[in-house]
Amino acid sequence: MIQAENVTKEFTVGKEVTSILKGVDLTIKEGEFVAIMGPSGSGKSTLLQLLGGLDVPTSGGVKLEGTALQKKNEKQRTIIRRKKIGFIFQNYQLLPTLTVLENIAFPLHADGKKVDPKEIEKLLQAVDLEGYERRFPHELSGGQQQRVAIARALIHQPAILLADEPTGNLDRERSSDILDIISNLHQKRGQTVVMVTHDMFAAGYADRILLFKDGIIETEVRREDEDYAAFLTRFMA
Amino acid sequence: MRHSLLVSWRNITRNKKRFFLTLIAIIIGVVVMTGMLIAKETTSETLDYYEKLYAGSADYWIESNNHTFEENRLDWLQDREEFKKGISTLLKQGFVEIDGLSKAQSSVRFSGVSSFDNGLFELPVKEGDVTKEGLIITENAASLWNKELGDDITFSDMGTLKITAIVHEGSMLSSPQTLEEANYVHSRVMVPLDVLQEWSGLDGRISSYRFETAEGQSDEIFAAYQEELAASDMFVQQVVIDDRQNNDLEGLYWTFDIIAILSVFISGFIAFNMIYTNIMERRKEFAVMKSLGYTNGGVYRLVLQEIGLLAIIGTVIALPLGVAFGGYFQELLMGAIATQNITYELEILSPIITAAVIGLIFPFAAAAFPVYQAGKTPVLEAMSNQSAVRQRSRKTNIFRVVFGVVFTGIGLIDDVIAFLFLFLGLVLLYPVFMNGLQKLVSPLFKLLFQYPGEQALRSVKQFKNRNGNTSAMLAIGVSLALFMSAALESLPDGMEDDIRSTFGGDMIVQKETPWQEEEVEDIKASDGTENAQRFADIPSITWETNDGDAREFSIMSFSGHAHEQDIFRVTEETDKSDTLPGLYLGERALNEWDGEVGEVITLNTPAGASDFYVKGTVQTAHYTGYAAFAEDAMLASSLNWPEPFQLAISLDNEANSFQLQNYLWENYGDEISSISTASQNAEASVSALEGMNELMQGLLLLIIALSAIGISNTLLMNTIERTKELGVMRAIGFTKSQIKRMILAEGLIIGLTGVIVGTAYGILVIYLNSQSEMAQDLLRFSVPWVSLILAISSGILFSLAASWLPSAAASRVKVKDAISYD
Repeated sequence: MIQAENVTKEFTVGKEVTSILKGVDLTIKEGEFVAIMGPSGSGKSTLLQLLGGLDVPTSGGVKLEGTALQKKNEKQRTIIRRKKIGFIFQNYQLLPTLTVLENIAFPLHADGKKVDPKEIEKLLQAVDLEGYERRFPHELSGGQQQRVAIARALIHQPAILLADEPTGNLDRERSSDILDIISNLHQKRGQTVVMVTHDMFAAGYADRILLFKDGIIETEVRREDEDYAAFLTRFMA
Repeated sequence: MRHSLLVSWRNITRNKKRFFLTLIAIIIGVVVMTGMLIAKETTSETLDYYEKLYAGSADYWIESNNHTFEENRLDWLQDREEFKKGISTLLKQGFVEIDGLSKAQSSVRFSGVSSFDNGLFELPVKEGDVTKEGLIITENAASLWNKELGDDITFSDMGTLKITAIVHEGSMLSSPQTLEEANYVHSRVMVPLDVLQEWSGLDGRISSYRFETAEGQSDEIFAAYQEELAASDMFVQQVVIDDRQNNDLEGLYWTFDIIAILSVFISGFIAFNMIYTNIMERRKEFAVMKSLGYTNGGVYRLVLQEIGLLAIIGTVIALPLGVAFGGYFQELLMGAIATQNITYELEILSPIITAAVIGLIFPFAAAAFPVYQAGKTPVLEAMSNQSAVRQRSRKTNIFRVVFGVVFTGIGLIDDVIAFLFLFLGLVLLYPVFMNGLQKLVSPLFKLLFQYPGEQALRSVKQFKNRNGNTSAMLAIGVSLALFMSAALESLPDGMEDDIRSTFGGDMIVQKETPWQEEEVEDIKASDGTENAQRFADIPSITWETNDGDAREFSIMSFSGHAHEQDIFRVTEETDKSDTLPGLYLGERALNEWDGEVGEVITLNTPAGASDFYVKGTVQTAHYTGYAAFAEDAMLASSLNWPEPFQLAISLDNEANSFQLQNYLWENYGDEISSISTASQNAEASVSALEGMNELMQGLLLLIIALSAIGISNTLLMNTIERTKELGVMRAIGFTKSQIKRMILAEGLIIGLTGVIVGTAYGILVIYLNSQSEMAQDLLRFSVPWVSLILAISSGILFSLAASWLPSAAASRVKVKDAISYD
């Protein structure tokens, strides 16, 4: 489904070149829920951007359902993104001039598609936002805004959901609500989910956890692994 | 200080594109303003200069109501203590002998002067020696007659003289430029007085005596002279520099002022946008500075220093460009309005000082609100990245609409100042217009631009004040462009009608000696003449405005009832009567005097200083309304001008005009001072207007281009302020080209609204002016279709072109910026 091969990413600031990713190899299967963890600056968000085609690696490659993203131009990557990928951001990133309904429908409109009211209704039910359709983002709480962002990420039924710190700005109770929604939708729709988080509680929803450090995957653990519980407990502590 | 300036420089150039656009806006604003100020100042100074040349150092002049008088009747004057020096002048008609010229084309007006070198007048020398006695002609005459310095010229039945000097055209001597023009304009040349007296058989007689006194002009001496000459055919006048009878340039100066104000206003608005966005972006920076101990005043000083630097750079670059633009514009202007080759020197000092002061101040004025906001930046709010909720906006909007409606109401009043309120109302009501129009055009935008178009309609609302103000600037530019086009289209017809309807017939002939009854009968009996009527045109009547400034105009006479005249139309009249003799003032004269109908005006006439009752005001093409009109019965009783020198002739058919002119030149040529026809007058006025047409359109195009820079700047600001949003759009599905289309659509909405509202206001202004009593029948209601199509197409094209740069910038927004954490 998603494959990263020896991915490196460097940024140049002034004359200084900083290496963020130093050769990442990663394969994510269809329907898998993967959490990427790591300290700030470890390169986890950069990797997510590369997986979503928002950027291209300095070297190495990212394949999405067999398509090498780095070989596509920006327009082609955008089209892949709007058909196959849903994005959830830490700061919700709702468009302030659009209502809840318009925000959710944006990816469909951008693709020139019509909105199916039933699909919207189902999504609104799923994220518990019925009755909020005509409200603007500034009229909603943080948790509600993130639920709109989830609905927006799912409206075009993407095969992959990329979430960058989706609960980073929320308290534990609201985080739990959001993670329940993502997890339920993942189970119902069978979407592949890749979530960047620094919160072990959130990572606990994933099938597999990748631990990032200094631009490489230092370690990984699967739900079925024997030391999974110990791993979680060690980090939670 | 050097370090602090360096920091300011870094701050203002942080965003190079924005810095460049703002600088361009300041530069264009200052350049246009400098150019307009130079044009106004130079034109005014040049005309004054020529008038002053004519006046020289003379303080008074003495003339007769009988064309000439005996020179020795001035002995009393030369014996007076204050008398310093004087010069005698004899005016006489003659004809130059040049092969191929018709009688009319060879017509020459001689000024015979008693001294060529006494400083009482100055001539703008081109070549030769003007102090040497001989024949002085102008460069136009030299070219027309194909003569050079030192050549001999022979005058029919008079004699031959050698050209001793050739001068530039001016108030004292001037000549037609072309043979066509020579049909109705004579060449004025200067010769020694004794030569002219001998040639004309007028030994010892002169037309006027100009003189200088040791004390200059004084009311006491003037009264003494008037008393001395009372009850004689001679009279005295003070030399007054006032060329308003020959030039009506107030409207032109007003247009220059409007263009200068508008350009500075638009530039100021662009600067406001830039500074405001810059300050909003730096809220966090200011908050950090304040947390480290900076006071509000410290933040103000920092930002003001940056604006000062920007203003200085912009103004320093703009001033030389403004001088160059002013010089080029002046050349075009002189070519358009002057009927002669006029030499002039650019007046740059005071325009540069004014433009420099305004250029340095207006960026500060534009920055006042943003700087205030910068100083007030709340530390915690800014550092936590929260934005202040604008509680006031709804209340402000209501006030805006209420004031907008009130100002628009005031703008409908028939008054020049009220006219400005109309545009103030436009700016205030603009968000309402914009909302309404967006609803109207939204189906079209959705169709043309699809979803990006729909998004654009929403985005325009996001920055509705800024977008509205930008569009309003364009609307004002478009409405003024349309109004000017309509005015310049209908003015020629209106002016021609005005000239014809108040000319007093088809032809006016002035003679050196009064028209006699038998001469009038002779002309009436000639082929093609319908009627001929004598009237007087008493020149150089001096008076004072209510502010005490000296002025000079003519009094024309009329016979019969004031309401049945064909040389003027009464526009206002008082019912009250007075024992004083009454007269009517032309509208410009009344405005200049600053008095009211029914009041008393004191005029220095050939009868001396006399009070007159202003019975009314009239509209007339004669001297563009800078004249007075008196019943012919008053000529002898109150004005000491018993004999009329003018004859107004009506023709059966205008086609007979040329035939009659030939008859007049053949039979009365030796004494005719001038022949002018309604057609020639109308043609001259219309051709001057046509010259102005292109000039005005060019200027207004400049204003629309400046508005386009405003659109570009606004869109760029909008783009910068929503970088994150654009990034999110890109992240969740918008392609670069969709972003581009969205920004282009935003620019088009701003531009299209500006064009539509501008067109509507333009048509409203044209209608209001066509109904205005001030404009009389000069402006008719007509929609200038060509200009309308041009305004719409150029408005749309300019808007799209202006949106190109921001749309490219927006499409380059990095998607990653949107999802990076704050």
